[in-house]
Amino acid sequence: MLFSSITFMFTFLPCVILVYYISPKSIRNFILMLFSMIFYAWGEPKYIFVMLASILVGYGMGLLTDYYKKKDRDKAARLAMIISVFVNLGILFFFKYIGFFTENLNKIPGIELKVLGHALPLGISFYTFQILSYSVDVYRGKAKCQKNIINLAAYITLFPQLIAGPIVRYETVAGQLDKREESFDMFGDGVNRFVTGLGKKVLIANMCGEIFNNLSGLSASENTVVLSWICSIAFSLQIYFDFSGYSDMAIGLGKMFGFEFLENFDYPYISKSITEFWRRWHISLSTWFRDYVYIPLGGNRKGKGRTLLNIFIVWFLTGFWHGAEWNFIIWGLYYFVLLMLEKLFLLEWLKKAPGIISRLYSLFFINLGWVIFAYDKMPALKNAVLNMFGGSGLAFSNDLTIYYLISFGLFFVIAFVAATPLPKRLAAKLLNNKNEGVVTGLNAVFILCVLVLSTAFLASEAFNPFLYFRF
Amino acid sequence: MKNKILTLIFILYILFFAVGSLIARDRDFSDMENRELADMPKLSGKTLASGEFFEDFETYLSDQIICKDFLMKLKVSTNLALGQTKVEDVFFGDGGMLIQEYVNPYNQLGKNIGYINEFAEANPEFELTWLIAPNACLIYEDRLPDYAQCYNQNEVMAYIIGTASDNITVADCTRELMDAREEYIFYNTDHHWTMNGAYIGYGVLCEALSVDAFSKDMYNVTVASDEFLGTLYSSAPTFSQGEDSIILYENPAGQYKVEYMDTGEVSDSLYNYDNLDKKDKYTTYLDGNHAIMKITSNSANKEKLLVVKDSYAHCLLPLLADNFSEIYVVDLRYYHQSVSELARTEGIQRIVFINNLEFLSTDNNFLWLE
Repeated sequence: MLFSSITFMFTFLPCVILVYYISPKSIRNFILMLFSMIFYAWGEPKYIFVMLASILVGYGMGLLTDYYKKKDRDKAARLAMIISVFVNLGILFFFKYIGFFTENLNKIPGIELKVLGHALPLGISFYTFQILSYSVDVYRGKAKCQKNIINLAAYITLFPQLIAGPIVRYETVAGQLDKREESFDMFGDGVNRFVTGLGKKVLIANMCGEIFNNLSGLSASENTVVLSWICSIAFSLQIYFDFSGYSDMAIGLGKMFGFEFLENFDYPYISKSITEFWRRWHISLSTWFRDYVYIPLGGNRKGKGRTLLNIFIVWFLTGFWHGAEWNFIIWGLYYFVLLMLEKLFLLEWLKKAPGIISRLYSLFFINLGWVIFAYDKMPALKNAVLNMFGGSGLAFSNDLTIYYLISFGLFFVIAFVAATPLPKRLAAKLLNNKNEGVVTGLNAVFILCVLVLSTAFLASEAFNPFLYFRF
Repeated sequence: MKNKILTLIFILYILFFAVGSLIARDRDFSDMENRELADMPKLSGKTLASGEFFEDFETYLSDQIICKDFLMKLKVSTNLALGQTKVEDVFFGDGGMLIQEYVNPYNQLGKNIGYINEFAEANPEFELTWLIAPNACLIYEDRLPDYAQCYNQNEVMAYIIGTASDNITVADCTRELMDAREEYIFYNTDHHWTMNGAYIGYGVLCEALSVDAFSKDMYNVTVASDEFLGTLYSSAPTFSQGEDSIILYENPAGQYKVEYMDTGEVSDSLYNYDNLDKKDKYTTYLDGNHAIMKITSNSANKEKLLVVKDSYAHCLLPLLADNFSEIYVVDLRYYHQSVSELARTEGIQRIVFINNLEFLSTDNNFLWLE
C-alpha cells in the first residue's frame, strides 16, 4: 500500500489509529505488527512469507548470537551472526539480482543459464538492511538481543518505514519498542510532518514526474536542448520530493505511534559540494554503508590503497543497491569518481569559491547523476545526455519549449524554493508569534489546505507513481 | 494546546472522508465526468493473489469518495492557477473554449485509410463518398493558449486526400467551416461540432453527392437547452465553465421513422428530447451511439443510402434525412458485420463515410470494415 493513496489515508490509517489507541499498551506492538502485515500484504500478498522468513532467521540467529556471547564463545556467536547475514543477503540476491547476473553471464560465449525473472518483493532492500543491522549490532553488543519475536517483527515490519525507508536502525528504536510514551504533542508533530510529506509527494513530486514522463517521451522533431534540461531538472525534483516526502510521511506516522526515527534528508540540493550532498541525501543509507561496510572493511586505517578500494566498494554497492541494472552501478561509480576528485583537491577549491559557484557546481553534477539514474537502457541514457549538451543536433528552443516554460515556470519556482530551508525558516518566524491562537490558526490552515489539495489530486487519479519498486 | 487541535483536525478530516464515503450511497454514474463509476470489487482468492483486488479497491474508493466532483474541480482549478493551460488532453483556450489536443496521427490514421481503401478496391460497384470534418483545434487554432500547438490538420487532410483510393470522392469541409468561424459551429465544452457546424458539413456533402441541400430557412431552428456541459468539461471540470447550447433544426413538413435496430426501439422523431435532461445532451441527436439504425422519411427522393459514421454524423443525419427516404446508419465501433453485405441485401448503391479527423486518427475499429 502507498501512503499517497485514498485507501491508505481514508481506510487503513483511521483503522490503525483507532485500534491502536483503544488497545492496552501491552498489545500495541502486536497491533502494529498485525496492521503492518496487512499494509504489506496489500498488493504484495505472496511475498509476505519471504519477509516473515527473513524475520525468523534474524530472530533465531539473534538469540543464538546472544546465547554464545554470554558463554564467551565468540566464534560461535560470530557464526550465528554470519548465518543470518548470509541467508538474508542470499534472499535479497535471489529476488533482486539473480536475473541481472544470469542475463549478463549469458553474454559470455559458452554460458547458457536459465534467466530467472520474478517480481521484486516490495521494500526488500530496506527491510533486509534493517535485519542485517540488527544481527550485526547484537553481535557487536551495540544492541540487546530482542527476546520477544513480536517486538522484533513489529520493528522490521513497522509500516511507516517498511517500503521506502528510512532504514531505521534497531538501536534507534530498541528502547521505544519496549517502552514509549504516545502524546498529543508527538501526534500533533506527526500530523505536521506527515502532511508536509504528503504535499511534497502528491502536489510536487507527482507533477514533476508527469513532466518528466511527457518530456522523456518526446520525439527528436519536438525535443529541444532546453526541454531536455527541463526534463532532467523535473526528474531531479521528482526524486527529491518523492523520496524525502516519503521519509517525512514515515517520520510523521512514526510520531503518531510514539516512535522517533532519525532524519533522512537535510535539504540536499543546497549542498556546496558532492561530499556535502551525500551527508544530506538518504542519510540512513549512507551511514548504513559507512557502519556496516566501510568501517568493517578497515575504513581508512589500512593505508591509502586499501582506503581507495574500500570507498570504491561502498559506492559500487550503493549504486547497485538502487537497482539491478548497469546504469545504477555507473551512477554509484560516478559518485566514487567525483568524491575522490573532491578529496584530492576540489574540496579545497570549492571552499574558497563563492557560494553560488560551489552550489551550481554541485547541482550540475547531482542533476547529471540523476540522468544516469533515470534511464536504465544505455541507448536512452546516451541520447538523453547528448540531447542536453547539444550533441544530437536538436534545436535550442521551440514553441513547445516556451509553452512548457509558461505552463510550469511558476510551479518550478515553487518547487525550487520548497527544496531549500526557506519555507521552514518562514514558518518558524510565523510560529514565533506570542499569541498561541494565531500560531494554532496558521498551522491549522496550512494542514487543511495541503490535506484538501492532496485529496483533490488523489481523487482525480492524477499521475501517482511509486519510484521504489526497484530498490 | 496547538498540537491537540492539530490532532483533532487531522483525525476529523480522515474520519470525514472515511465515514462520509462509507455512508454516502455509491453512485453508478458520474454526471459531471459522464462515465460509469467503479463498483466495490469482488473479493476472491484469485483477485487477492493477483493483486487485482487492491488496484480495483483504490479505483473504487477514489470513484466513490465523498465530494468527488468538488475535489476534481479543485484539482483542475489548481492547475490553472499555476498557469497551466492544458489538463488531461484539453486546452483552456481563449473565450472559455475547451479545445481537445490533437497529436501526430499517422500511426493509426495510416491503418484506417488502408482499411477504407481496401474496402473501396474490393467493392468497386458502390459509389463511395467520404465527408471529413476537421476539429476545433484547426478551426479555432487562434484560440489555443499562447505557444500551445496541435498537429496541423490541414496537412493531415491533404495527406488523406492524397492517399485515398480513386474510387472514393473525398469531401473536405474545412474551408466552409473556416468561413463560418464567427458563428457558433463548435461547442465550448464538447469535442463535437454543433448542429450549425453540421449544417455546413451537410452542404458540402450534398454537393459531393450531387443532391440539393435544403436552405436553412426551411427549418425551425431552436435552442433546446442552454445548459450543456460536454465531454471536454468532463475531463477538465472547473468551477466557472460557461455552458453550451443544444441547437435543433426541425423540418415542419418532415415525417420520420427511426428504427434503432440494435435495441429494437422505434421513434417518430430524429431527436430524443428526453436526453435534454441528461448530462450528455449531445445524445439528443438520434439518441447517441447505436450500432445500426434505419431512418425513413417522406423525402421526395426515394433513393437509399448507407452511412458509416462516427458521432459527428449524429447532428448531420437529421438534415440528410430530408434528402433520402431511407438511410441505413452503422457505427463500426459497435457494428462488426459486413457493410458491403448489408448494402447488397438492401439494394443500396451509395455508401457515405462521415468522420472527424480526431476519430479517424485514433479509432481502431475500422478493421471491421468489409
